Amino acid sequence: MTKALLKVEGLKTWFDTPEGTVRAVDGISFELRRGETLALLGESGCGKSISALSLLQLVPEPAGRIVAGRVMLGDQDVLAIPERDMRKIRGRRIAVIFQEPQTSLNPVLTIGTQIREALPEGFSDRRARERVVALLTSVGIADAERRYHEYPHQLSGGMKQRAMIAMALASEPDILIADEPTTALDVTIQAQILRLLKELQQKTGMAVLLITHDLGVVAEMADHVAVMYAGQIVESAPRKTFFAEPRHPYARKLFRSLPSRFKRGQALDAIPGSVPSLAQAFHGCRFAERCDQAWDLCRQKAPRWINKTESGVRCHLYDPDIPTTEAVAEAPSAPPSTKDAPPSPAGPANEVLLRMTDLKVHFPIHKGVFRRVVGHVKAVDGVSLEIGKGRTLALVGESGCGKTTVGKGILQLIRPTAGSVTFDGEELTALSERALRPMRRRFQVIFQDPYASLNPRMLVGDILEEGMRAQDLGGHPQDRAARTEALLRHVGLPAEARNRYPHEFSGGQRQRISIARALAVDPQLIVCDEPTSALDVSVQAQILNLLKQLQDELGLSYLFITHNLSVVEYLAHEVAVMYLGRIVEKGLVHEVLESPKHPYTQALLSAVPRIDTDTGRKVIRLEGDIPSPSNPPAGCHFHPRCPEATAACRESYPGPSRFSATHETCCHLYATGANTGKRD
Amino acid sequence: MIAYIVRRLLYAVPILIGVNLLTFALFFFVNSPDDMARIHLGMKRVTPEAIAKWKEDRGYDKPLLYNSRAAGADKFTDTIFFRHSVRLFVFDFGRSDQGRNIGRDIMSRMWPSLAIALPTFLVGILVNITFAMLLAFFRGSYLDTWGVVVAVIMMSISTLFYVIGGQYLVSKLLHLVPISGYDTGVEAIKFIILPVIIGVIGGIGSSTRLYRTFFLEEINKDYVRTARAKGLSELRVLFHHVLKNAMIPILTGVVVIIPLLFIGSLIMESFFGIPGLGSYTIDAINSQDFAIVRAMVFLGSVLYIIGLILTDISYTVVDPRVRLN
Amino acid sequence: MPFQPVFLVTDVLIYVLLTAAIAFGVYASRREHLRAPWRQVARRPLAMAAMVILSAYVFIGLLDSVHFRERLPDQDQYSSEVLSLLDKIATPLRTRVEKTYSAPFAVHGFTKETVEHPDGSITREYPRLLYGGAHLEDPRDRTADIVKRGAVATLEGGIVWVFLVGAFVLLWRRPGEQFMHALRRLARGDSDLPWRTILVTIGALILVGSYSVNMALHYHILGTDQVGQDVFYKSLKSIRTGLVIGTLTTLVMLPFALVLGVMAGYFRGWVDDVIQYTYTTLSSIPGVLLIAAAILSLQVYMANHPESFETVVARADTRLLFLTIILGVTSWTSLCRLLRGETLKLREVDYIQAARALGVGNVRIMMRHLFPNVMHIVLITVVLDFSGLVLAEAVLSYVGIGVDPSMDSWGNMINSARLEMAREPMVWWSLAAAFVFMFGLVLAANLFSDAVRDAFDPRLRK
Repeated sequence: MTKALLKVEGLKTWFDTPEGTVRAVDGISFELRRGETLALLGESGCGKSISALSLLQLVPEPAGRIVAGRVMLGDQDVLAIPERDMRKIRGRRIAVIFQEPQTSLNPVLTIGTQIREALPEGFSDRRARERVVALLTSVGIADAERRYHEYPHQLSGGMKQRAMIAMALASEPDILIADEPTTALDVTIQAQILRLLKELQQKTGMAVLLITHDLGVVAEMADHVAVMYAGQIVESAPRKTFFAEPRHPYARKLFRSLPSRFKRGQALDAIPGSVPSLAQAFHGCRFAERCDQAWDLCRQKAPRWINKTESGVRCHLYDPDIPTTEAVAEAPSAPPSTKDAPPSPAGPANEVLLRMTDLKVHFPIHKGVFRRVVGHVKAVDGVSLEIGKGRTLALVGESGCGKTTVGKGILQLIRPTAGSVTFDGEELTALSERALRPMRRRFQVIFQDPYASLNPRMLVGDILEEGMRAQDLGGHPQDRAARTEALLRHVGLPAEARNRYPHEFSGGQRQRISIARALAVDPQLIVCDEPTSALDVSVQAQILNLLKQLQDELGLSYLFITHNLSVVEYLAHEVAVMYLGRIVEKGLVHEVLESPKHPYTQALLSAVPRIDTDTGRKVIRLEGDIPSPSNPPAGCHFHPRCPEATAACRESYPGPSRFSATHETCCHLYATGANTGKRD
Repeated sequence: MIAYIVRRLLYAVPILIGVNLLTFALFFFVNSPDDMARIHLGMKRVTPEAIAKWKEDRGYDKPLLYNSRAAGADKFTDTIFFRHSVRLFVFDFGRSDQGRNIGRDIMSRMWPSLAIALPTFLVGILVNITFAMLLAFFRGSYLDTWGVVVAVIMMSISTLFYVIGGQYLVSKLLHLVPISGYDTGVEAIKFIILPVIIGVIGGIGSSTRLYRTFFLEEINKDYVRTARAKGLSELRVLFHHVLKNAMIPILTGVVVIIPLLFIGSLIMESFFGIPGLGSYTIDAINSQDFAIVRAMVFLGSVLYIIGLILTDISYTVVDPRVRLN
Repeated sequence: MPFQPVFLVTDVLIYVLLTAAIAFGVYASRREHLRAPWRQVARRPLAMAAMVILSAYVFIGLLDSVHFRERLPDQDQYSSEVLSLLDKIATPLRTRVEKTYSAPFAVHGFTKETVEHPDGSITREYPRLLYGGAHLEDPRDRTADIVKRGAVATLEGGIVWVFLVGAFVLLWRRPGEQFMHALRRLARGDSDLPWRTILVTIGALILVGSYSVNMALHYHILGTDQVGQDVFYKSLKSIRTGLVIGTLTTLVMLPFALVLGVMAGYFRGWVDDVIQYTYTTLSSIPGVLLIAAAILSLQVYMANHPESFETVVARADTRLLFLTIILGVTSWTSLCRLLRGETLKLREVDYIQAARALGVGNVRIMMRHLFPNVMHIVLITVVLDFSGLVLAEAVLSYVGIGVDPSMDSWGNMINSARLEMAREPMVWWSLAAAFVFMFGLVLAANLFSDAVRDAFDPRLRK
């Protein structure tokens, strides 16, 4: 076994806050070897990013401080190096790429300048330039000469992240820390970046410390996995071992809370509660409160690190010195399914609740002295969909494709430019704001960001009652209060919650409050705009379970807007795939996800990292970025990125081709009857 | 960009009309020309004839907006509004109530104003940014803490005291430069230097503190972390990365002032006896010369609007993200 | 009735403001999200010291805002002179008017006068003052007298302070805690709120007060001005002017800025255009010039309509009110722009979209969602503007477009003292007095507003 390149021992980084000392990183140890990728896996707030910053002494001061531990880079303790000399380590031996390429690049300096700064000293002007261009080319940026002089805002998100990688590689570091490098990116771009990182690692032999919350990314990238929970590493194992047999109850639960098509019709095995506050001293196991195998000892005594050759775990269950007779047997692996059988895959629902026909939302672009309209951003450009009563339609697409605008167009929060939206037979686009108001109670919305979706200045009770008051529901104040309490209990919150403010609740709990607010007016349809994207996997499972349960009980219809395909597989009845303002494919969920027809759908599906990597998935790589909706490519919008584009694709937008009563796509590959099924 | 500037200039027209209507209302509706005449001629024992003569001399004997006695277009042009307000648009400032040619006065008096205001402005920016960067560099240290305290103390002192104290110390006790007055050519320097120094010192407190927060705000951003992670020195991070970004909010407050430098500072000019537009305005206020005040209001608005346009243009220089359209 | 109350317009507005502040305090104390930032402010020693000083200023200002006319002795008529509570309390200061300038603590006049002696001889000498040090038989005893009175003042102030601290500790100690233990804890600064700093500041104020009371009855502690009025008294009277300018201006502009700014941002479209046009037009006129134009206009009006004003005080008060209005007009524009920008951002925020989706009306969205969420901006602006407005008063009065020349204000004090700058020896005390009083108020306000901004600005909270 090769000697470790980087060895972290007992690292502790604490933060002093008004609420007390937050032990963000509380004694973590790991090793990193040359050419190896170690994934530090954990949910938000577990301390994984702070761990990375600590390695470079970049913890924000004076609030944060490294209180203990050693970081051995070869024979040198990085933590003992004074600030002056850290500059020889940062960027030179250990380089970092951060999560948000949007904010991590300096907006007023050119890409070239910023990468040049990262070069080691001693380059002549001309050689430095050549080197930067070479670097840009090596990270897959076409036309590097031109990009050299461009500013970050002129690059797409994926390209910015490539530039960040080029910057990190400039000094040929031994170690690359990648802090959630693809979390802010779309799934097709994520696939590009992950592949790039892998290739570069093979070429240079550098070690990669990959920090992520995404099990799929870990499965795709890592050689070794370390799972963090509440400031500590709770399990460490080689990837294969870990995915074959996770040992810590937390890790096992993580796998089970992931939604997938195999769990359709069942409730997900969610982890109850949320991550504990780190501003406390722990006496027992940090996971004990949420663990269904915990017994008294877990709450009294902190488990020690139990080491096996390549792996280790921090759990009393595996401690040979502790008799596990008391241990609670593991809960049945498949939880009882919800009442209903899996949704029937046959045929569309017979009753249509909402129908939109050729919906268009265009935003004008003004220019010139008199602000004449010179063009339109066609955010939504002719979308036709139907949602049946009690059904879930998933609207899938990457950022900027217009899916959120569709949602707002349905809700009439943005008045559509053209097309019709009929709700239960009533044409919404023709109604005035006043006439619309009483209708509004019938279709509601849940947003993505649990922090922005509740007014911080209102009591939870007032938030829930607001809709009832506006719609004149619920009768007397006492009745309303009773109704509010019932709603809170229904979404799994205590009734007292109504006398508290939103900031007292966690992200998952806030999302429950948002759901309760929507339910308060007895809607028939809820537009769910990425309701779980901002949540951790364990909490996401709770919310998905709740949504599913509510649908079963109340017969709700959902328009589920998301980019997460595994959620779609789990939850939706029908699915529509959107690209650049238009629907490219729609159908029942098994039709679209199991036999996708449109090349974009195929690419999208193949780009999602899977935890079952050994199934021999072949990634269809899409080149380039999503074009701007203000100036979509002529012909089929997708043709510049499409691996199967033909001359026809450049000329005209394809019409719909049907494969079944429900399944259709817009692609020239299937344009004529003769071609239908050519690819099957 | 040119289209943008043209549009902004066109937008300035209704604003200037608004300004004009406002001042017109203040001066001619709230008080009639008769009232003004009485003030100027002394309140006691004013004959109606004297009032009529005073008004006629200044063209205030016309109707306000509509002259029913005149013919054709004169119905609108032979009015106080047209003669005294509309003509401002072609920078025809007319005559002051004392009969001076305001336009010529402005042309000759703006140079002394500029001679004081411009150096104060330039030196001030340089000094303030330097101090603010110094505090930002040593953020969290004693230097920073006490620097901020000193800044707060300095901004709690009225400009008047800076002027009075400065004059007393430098001119009266030390006899370094004359207390007040003005001269042309090189000789002017000895009159300019004290007001400039005092002007700069008077502005240090608030600006340094404000700019420091701009710097600190930038320092907390992600790109600074990236720059540090690259192994750049703190100085380079500050000068190369933070300064350029912090210039954007700094410019917002600074560029808009530039055209107004022509008008000068009321306080400085009157204390130091500089024959600029600032003291011109003060004199006009003291002698209740409405024509001059009206002209200065209009001129000030024009310069301010130019300042706004300049600000927008300056963004395109420092911020590559901004394109005017 | 021995007196007849007089309500000046600014008095009424001050009462309104006070009521609003108290109401807001009660409202905020019941809401955790409003209480939390204030608690943060209260934990900062410097901010609390500043608040104690501000309270002293406000107290004097309020005393000076209760006006009345006294019944003339033995008549069924009221005096035409409008007095305030402060005037009444400081009657000795108000009425002991010398002939002209005199230096602080002087017993002799500032200028030589021709004095006719009882024996008929005539000399040019510095005459004894009518009131300043008049109790002294021999002017040479002055130093000893001052030292003695100083000692008495220190003692008296000290005793009051010790009692105050004692009473505080008794109330403040934890149940069952020994008095000395609590006192030591206080002295160490071991408390949630910075009580040590607060009590020390109060102590310092008590001392200053005690000195003033002991000395001011016998000397002109800050000298007298050209017409022989006590400068200390004038400085005290100026407090109200400064406070009125600093607070009422904001009160006047607030409704406009808040309602218009939020409306512009929320409704957009033509509403936005009209509001933007209005504030761009107003803000494009340089502030001083707009104020000059307005005040000049007012002057002319007042000169031509002397009959509209019953008393000199009412006249000065009208001008003060007008000044606050016009200052408000020049300063609401920036707040309005700020609020419009914030509302533009807020209206796209999810909870507002959710409210719209629930069918909540526009007015209600503004009242329940927008106003509460822009209030921190309003608050920060109000406290930050205060000190600037106090400083502006001085400059405007200097330029001649400030408060009425008959009204006591620091600006007028500086303005009149400036004319005497060239005198030898210099008449410095009016300037010094104005400087000290103004500096105290503005510095305290700045320190306090700093803490408020740190606590309320979400951008700085990170």
